[in-house]
Formats: sequence, structure tokens, C-alpha cells
Amino acid sequence: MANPPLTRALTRHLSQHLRRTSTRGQPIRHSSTHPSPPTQHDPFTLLSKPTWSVRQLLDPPTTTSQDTTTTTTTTTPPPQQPPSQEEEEITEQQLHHLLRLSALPPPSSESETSSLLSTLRAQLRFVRAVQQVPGASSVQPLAAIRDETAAGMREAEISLHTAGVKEALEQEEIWGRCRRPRRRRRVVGETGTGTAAEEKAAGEEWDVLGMATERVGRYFVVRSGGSGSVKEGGGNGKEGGSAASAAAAES
Amino acid sequence: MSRISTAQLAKYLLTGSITHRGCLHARFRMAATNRGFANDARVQRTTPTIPAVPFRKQLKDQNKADKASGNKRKKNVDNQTVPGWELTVGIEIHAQLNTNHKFFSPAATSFQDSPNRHVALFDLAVPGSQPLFQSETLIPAVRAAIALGCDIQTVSRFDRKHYFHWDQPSGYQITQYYHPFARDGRVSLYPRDGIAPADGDRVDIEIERVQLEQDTAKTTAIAGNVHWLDFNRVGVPLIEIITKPQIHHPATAAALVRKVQMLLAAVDACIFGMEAGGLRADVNVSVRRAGGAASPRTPLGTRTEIKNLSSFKAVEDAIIAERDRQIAILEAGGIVEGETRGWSLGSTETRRLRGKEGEVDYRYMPDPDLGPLVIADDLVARLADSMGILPDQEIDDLVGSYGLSTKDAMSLLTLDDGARVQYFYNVLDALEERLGLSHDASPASDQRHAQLAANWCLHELGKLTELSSDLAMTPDGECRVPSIDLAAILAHLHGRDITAKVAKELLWGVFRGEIPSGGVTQAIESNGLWFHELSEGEYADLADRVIQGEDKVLSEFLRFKQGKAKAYPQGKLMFLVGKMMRAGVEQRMDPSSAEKVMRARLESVYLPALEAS
Repeated sequence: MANPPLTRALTRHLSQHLRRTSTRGQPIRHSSTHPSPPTQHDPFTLLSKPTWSVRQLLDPPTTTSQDTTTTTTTTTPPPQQPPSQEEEEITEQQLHHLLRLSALPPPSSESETSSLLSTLRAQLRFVRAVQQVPGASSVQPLAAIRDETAAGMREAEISLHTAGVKEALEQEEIWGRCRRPRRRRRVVGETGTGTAAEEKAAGEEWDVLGMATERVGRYFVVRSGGSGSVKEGGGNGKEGGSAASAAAAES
Repeated sequence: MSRISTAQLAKYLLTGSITHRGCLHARFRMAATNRGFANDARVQRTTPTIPAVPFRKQLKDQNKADKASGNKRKKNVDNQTVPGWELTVGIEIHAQLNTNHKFFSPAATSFQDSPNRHVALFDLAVPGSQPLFQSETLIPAVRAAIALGCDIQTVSRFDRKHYFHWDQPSGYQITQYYHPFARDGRVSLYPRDGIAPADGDRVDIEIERVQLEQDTAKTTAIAGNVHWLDFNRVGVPLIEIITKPQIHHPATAAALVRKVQMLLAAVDACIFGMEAGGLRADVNVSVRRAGGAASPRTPLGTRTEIKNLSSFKAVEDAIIAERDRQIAILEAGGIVEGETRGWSLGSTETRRLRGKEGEVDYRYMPDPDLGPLVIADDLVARLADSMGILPDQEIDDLVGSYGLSTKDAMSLLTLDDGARVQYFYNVLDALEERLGLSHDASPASDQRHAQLAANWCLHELGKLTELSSDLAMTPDGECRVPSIDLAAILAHLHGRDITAKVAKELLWGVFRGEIPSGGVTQAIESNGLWFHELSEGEYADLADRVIQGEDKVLSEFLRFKQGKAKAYPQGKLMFLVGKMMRAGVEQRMDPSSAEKVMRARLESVYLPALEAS
């Protein structure tokens, strides 16, 4: 559970915030016996009783799969499950579909299928519980933890002073009567390939073709239509794709 | 007797010819007498003898037969609307950006370079490699978005679009699904861009979003299910331009793609067009019954997507074919399925590539390796200010200030990748200097010299070579006919010092290098090509000479004068002028002056003389 000093610091911060944002200058009292404001605003009360636990969500609850409204049981139930929870459970067909999409091998035995299914269902129950938190739908899902304060964004922004942009703008010329900017076309070498050996850009000096298990000249070779390929109805993203054999060929 | 084959028998009965294989000379003679049997009237000849019909008549008859049997394909121009149905089209355009480096790796972009030469570790998704956003790729992207009138979003994010294919080594494509970097733009189309006449004077197609994404590798299919991969193209930045479904005619759709290509090339965002493979279009087509005034609008019908169209004509043809197919299905009472279809050049119907059950679940997910893309206002402002004059405005300027026709202005802009119009400006500058005119201010009607220059830059220059590339036009606007020399020729022509015929000869001479640069006036001088026009009196004498014995023609003019004929006999006038030209010294005559003199003399001298007699 939460660290007691942390809880105190948190509640102190919360109460200060609540005081600052109270309407019409009415101070919010800490005492829980005061008739108004109602007790649910009291941070101490809020944080003193836990309303959920990870174990409760992961272990399948015994009675609450049908309950939606009960709040009086001694062990506080997990937040409401949607009434149609049964239909939303992952079926075996969906499991196979997900495994195909991820290019993972299908389960080899019944026990593997059932263990995969139960793990998946428990995880989804957990996720749905988090999504049921009031106000959760208005929060943007977290993609990565980055510095998104104003200062952090200013640092990350691409402006005229960013090195790459400055360099590229300097390499432009104004062309024609209409004064349109244009990137200076690179002069093509005599061989016609456009790049001499010494002109290799940064990041290109490594043995690319060494990565190929099969090659013809300077091309990677891939064979399609092999066995064990990931097929999906009419194709995976593009027509005529056969991904697994290709992935094997390239890795 | 051995059995005679049916072929031989048929040949004998129908055409009366006998194969002489294996016959000796004597038997041949006997067989020849037998041929009389075939001439018997009782034997029916069923082979018709083909009369010699002229080829043009054959084509016309073929056309008529096709139309009657219903096989004839309607021309696209006539096939823009189907009565009772409304077509709705949305377009997605993928354009390759013109940058030095790739999107997330420092490798260089290239075009038709040696395969697998510009590949970084991240492009091949080598384990442990991370994306590194190359900020210079923003410059053409932002320019493209500004040219399309979009609002640039300060913060946009990158997402992953997951699918497995050998041309996508990492198993996902980095795109901007949830938060694109530009929204809410607009492209205005006019009749000069080639929209359908039913769309009127102007169509505004709104652009819903413009997003950045990565390109995939190039695959060459070899026989035997083998594919060769070139990863130079992996990770090259693309922009995807998605329009709202507001297009209602196929020609307008093709016009939109053409205009977007022109705009992107003008702002240097995407310099390779559809033919070079730098621009691809996917089209979403749906039809619904056209609502009457009273009935409420029905919702849009199911849409099908046609992928990978690679030319403007293909866009128009594919939309027409798909619309007709969907209308046929709906009229027969069926349901249009939402599927993905393909089109190849020359086909009459789209073919199904993938049904709804084959649709891929892309599982879009924000890319955790990449931070948000934050575009500063100063960059956007600087790029917006420095775009120069855009093509629409340039055409308006050419038409407005110089009085060129819209068609001529558009041809100037599109020929030689925009170099022809630079050549025109160079010629015009030099011409104005020679004529002592100043640039601006005079209305378009006074700009005869500009129209002359445009005509010569387009048509006369075009007559010099088979291919326009043989002119060797540089991007700065110089070619094998230096602009100062063409200006010199036009200056003399404008001042009527030389005739048009002589001017064309001089152009030839300059093109072939016979006349050195700057030596036009000298060449005219040395070859005695100055136009010493006949005086008015000499024209009059010629006219008198020519009119002898042309009483019949004169009577035509009299009939018009007396009101018995409705139109002025212009043809007869030109016949007389032609006679004058042949009778006189051609180098000293100008047909328009001769016509003027003849017309005047007809009025004043010949007709009164005829009336009096």
C-alpha cells in the first residue's frame, strides 16, 4: 500500500489545492464533523480506505461477475463490470486471430489454449477496470514518459534554429521569375549512380548486403508462397504477401 | 481412292480451287479442266467478294455498327454523370518528399540509384536501432501543407501501423494516424484545370488532413515466386493527402490529382510526378440515388477503394468503371460490398483485390520511441512567406497582364518542367528592351508583342523539333535558340521590317547554328531580307490587273451590296488576294495589306463601275 509519509504529503498538497480552488472564498475545513462540504471531499477520508487491489482484479471474483450495483459487501468489490461482460470475454477464435496478427505460433495443445485464454482474460479485466475509472475516457493514453512541460516542448520543437533545418535552408536557391525556393539539385556523377564512394552519407557505412541470407547481385532475395506463412483472408496489408517466410529470409 | 479432307473439299466447293500437292503436270491439266464444275451455277458460292471500300468509310461503318449494338464505349467527356445517380469520390494521394535524407535515419534519399546503397541500420530494423527524426524533412512537408491551404498543427504525434510484409522490415509503418501535422485545407479547381462542365466555374475540394509517413522498399517480381528487394526506398518520407468526399464527377477527380501534383512541384515538395512513380493515388468511390427536392438525402452508399492508380487517365477511367459497376449492382437489387479493388490500364472493370474479411487490423498505436513533433511558428511563418508566386497566380498574371489565352498560359507553365515559361520571360524582357517599351502598366490589349512572343515560344519553337527535349531547354530558360536572338527576330517582325515567312526562316537558321548568336540583324542585312513593301499605288495597280475578267466574282460582291446575299463573300475576296500575291513580287507583299487595298478598291472603284455598266 502507499507509503504513510507519502500519503500525508499527498493529502497536504491536495488540501492546499482544494482550498485554493474553493468557490466564493469559502474555506474548506478539515474536520469531518462539519456539515458542509460533504465528507467525500476530505482527502483523509478519500485515501484512508482502499477501493481496489491488483490481486482482486486478477483473481476471478466469486460473486461479482453478475453484480453491478452492490456496494455494501464487506470486501469492497471491484469497480463496476459492464453487464454484458460475458459476451466481451475473449473467445478461442479471437485468440487465434490475435496470434495470427502477431505472427505468433498457434497454441499446440488444449492446456496451452486455456492458459493463454485465462491469462488474456485476466489482463483484459484489469484493463477494463482501469478504463472504468470516472473521467478515464477524457485522459489521453500515455504513449511514453517525456518532458511535456512548456520548457520541454520548447526544447523539442523544430524551428529555424534547429541544425538540420538551418543547413537545409542554406542549401536552397531562389529560382525563376516567380522567386520560388528550390533545393539545389545534386550534380550526378559520370557513372550515373549519383553517389561516389566518398559521398556516402552518415549511417550508410556498414555491410548492408551481409544481412541477406540469399542475394542476387546487389538485391535481397525473398521467396513467397512457402509453408508456414502468415495468411489472412486475402492478404496481410498488401496483396500476395507471405510474411513469415520473408521474415525468415531477412533475419 | 484416298479420302479427301473436308478442308480441301470445302475449298473446292466454295472457291473452286484445288490443291495441287503431289500432282504431276499432266494431272494438273486434267484437274484444271475439272474446274469448270465449280463454275456451275448450281454450286453456290458463299464466299463474298470483298469490294474495295475506302478505309475511312470502313471505320465510319464500324463506328455506326458499334453504336447500334451498344458496344461502343462512351467517351469520358460524355460520361460524367448518370441520370438519377450521384457519385461521391474521396481521394488519398501519397507523394514522395524532396529531401536529402530519409525520415528517421541519416541515410540519403536517391532516385534510381544502385540498389541497397543508401540503407541505414534503422531502415532494416536491425535489433537495437532507434529512429532519429531528421528535421529537414519538415521543410517540404510544411510547404506542401501551406500550398494546400492547411492549418499546421503545432503538436502532432507519430503512430505505428502494424502489418507484415517483406517490404516493411520492422513490421510496422510509422505514420500519423491520430494526430496529423496539418488539417483542414482546400484546393480550388477551375475549368482551366479540366474539371467536368457540370461542376461549373469553380469547385473547392476540402482537404481533411495531411500526414507524414514512411515509404516501403521496392520489390521486383521475378518468375518462380521470387522477389528482389531494394531497400533504398525504405524510410523515405511521404505525405498522405486525404480529401473529404466532395468530388462528384470523374473528370474533377483527375483534375484534382493533376492540380495537387502541379502545386507540390511548384513548392518543391514533391518533384517526381505520377509517371515517375513519385505520386500515387487511391480512390474511394460510392454511389447513391440522386435526391429529389423533397426527399431527404440518403446517407452515402458503401464505398469501395481502388488502389494504386498510376496515371491521371487511369484515375478517371477507373472511377467511371467502378461507378458503372456499382450502379449495375444496385439496379439489379444487390448490395455493394465494401472491398478493395484494383485497376490496370486498358481494362473495362475494376478487379477485386481483397474483401472485407481480408481487411487487415492495423492496430494503430502511438509510437513509444518517438516524441511528439513540435513545429515552431517561426519556421511555418518563414516558409509561408518565402514560397514565391504560386502557379494559380502566375496563370492569372499571364492572362491578366499580357492577354494570353488560358490554354497558352497553362501550356507555357507545364512544358519543359516549367522552363518554357522562364524562356518566355527572357524573350519578353529582351523584346521589350529592343522595342523600348517598359514593363508594366499598359493594359493587356496593348500587349501585342507579348502575345506574339508567347505564340512563337509555344508554337513556332515547337515546330522546330520532334521532341521538346531536343530543344535542350535549361531550367534558367535558355535553349538552342538563344532568347536574345528570338527577341531580335520578333522585334523586327513586330515592326514589320520582315515578313512572317522570313522570320520563320531566320528561326530555322538560328536553331541550326547557321546564324551566330547576336547576328540576326546582320543576317537580314547580308541576305537582303528586309521587307520593302509595295506602295499603296502599286497594290492598286496589281488589283486592277487581277480584276480583269473576273466579272462573275464581282457579281457576287454586287449581290451582297444589293442585299441579295446574306454574308460577305470572304472566300472570293481571298481568292482575289491570292491572285494578287501570285501576280506580284511575293517578297514585297503582305497579304493583309493586299486584302485591305482590294476591299477598298472593290467598294470604291469596281462595284460602282459594274453597277454603272
